[in-house]
Amino acid sequence: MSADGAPPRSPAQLAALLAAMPYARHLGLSLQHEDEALVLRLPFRDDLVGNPSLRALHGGAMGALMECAAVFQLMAGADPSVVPRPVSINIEYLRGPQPVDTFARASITRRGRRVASVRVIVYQADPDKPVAAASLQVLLAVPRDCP
Amino acid sequence: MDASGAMPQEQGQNTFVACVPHNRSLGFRYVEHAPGRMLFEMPYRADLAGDARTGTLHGGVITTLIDATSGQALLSLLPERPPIVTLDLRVDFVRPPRAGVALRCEAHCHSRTPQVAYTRATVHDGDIHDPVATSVGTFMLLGDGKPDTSTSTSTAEPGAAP
Repeated sequence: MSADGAPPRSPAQLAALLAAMPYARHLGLSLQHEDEALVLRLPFRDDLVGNPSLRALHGGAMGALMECAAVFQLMAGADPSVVPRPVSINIEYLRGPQPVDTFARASITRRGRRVASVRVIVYQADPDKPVAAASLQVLLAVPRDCP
Repeated sequence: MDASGAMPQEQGQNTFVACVPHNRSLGFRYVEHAPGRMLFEMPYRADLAGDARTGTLHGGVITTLIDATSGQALLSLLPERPPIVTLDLRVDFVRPPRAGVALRCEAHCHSRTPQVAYTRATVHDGDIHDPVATSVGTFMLLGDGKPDTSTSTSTAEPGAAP
């Protein structure tokens, strides 16, 4: 949060930020707001496949989805001067993904002044059967602090 | 990297990259390999940036490059190319890559049991001693190491498709 108490970004501002991110456009990511939580959607495409015999989504694409979900969850609760930058991501792959649309939901374990810890779950048809999970450490850099 | 296992670029590209649609789609290029070691390159592309203003590549692209290179480092040890799945992958994003510059990922499968393999990888944009990202991964080998994997479904549980 900012010292001057600027309001957090609105859903429209978050959608605009996602639309302005070239790689998010490349993946076709979109934001949904469910029960005050952000859900990021990755539509299935054949060129996202990492295992052709299973037509399974590439593990790296799931990693990208989880990183975006963490960053947008942090941006949703912070004033616009905060630009989250992931320090590390630790991914567990839990189930073989199906060739269908994929969703990610992030929850903030702890938001400090400088760094936040975020947990992300990836699921497909059933939110109770995650296909992957990740924990991230994210720097909450304010641009004026960066040379 | 010891280039003794290197293939002609086109053959390596077909063997280690072109078989995976998403690796092809992100423009990964085979450079060289040795048993258990793999070197991929990714030419810079502005449409894969995380920040349109700076042009810096998105971290997710780096994660994908690492997952792909690490998996193929393992497969370089397995001529029968059994199905493998990533169990877990940790990536440390040391610094943002320079915009406009190709990335290289050097991966090494350093330990392996019949069912599980362990990898390390480093991503850099010109100097491997000034890395962009470092990583450790764990992979599950599906099947029993023999060409016929149809009887080994019990080993496929943790990461395999249902």
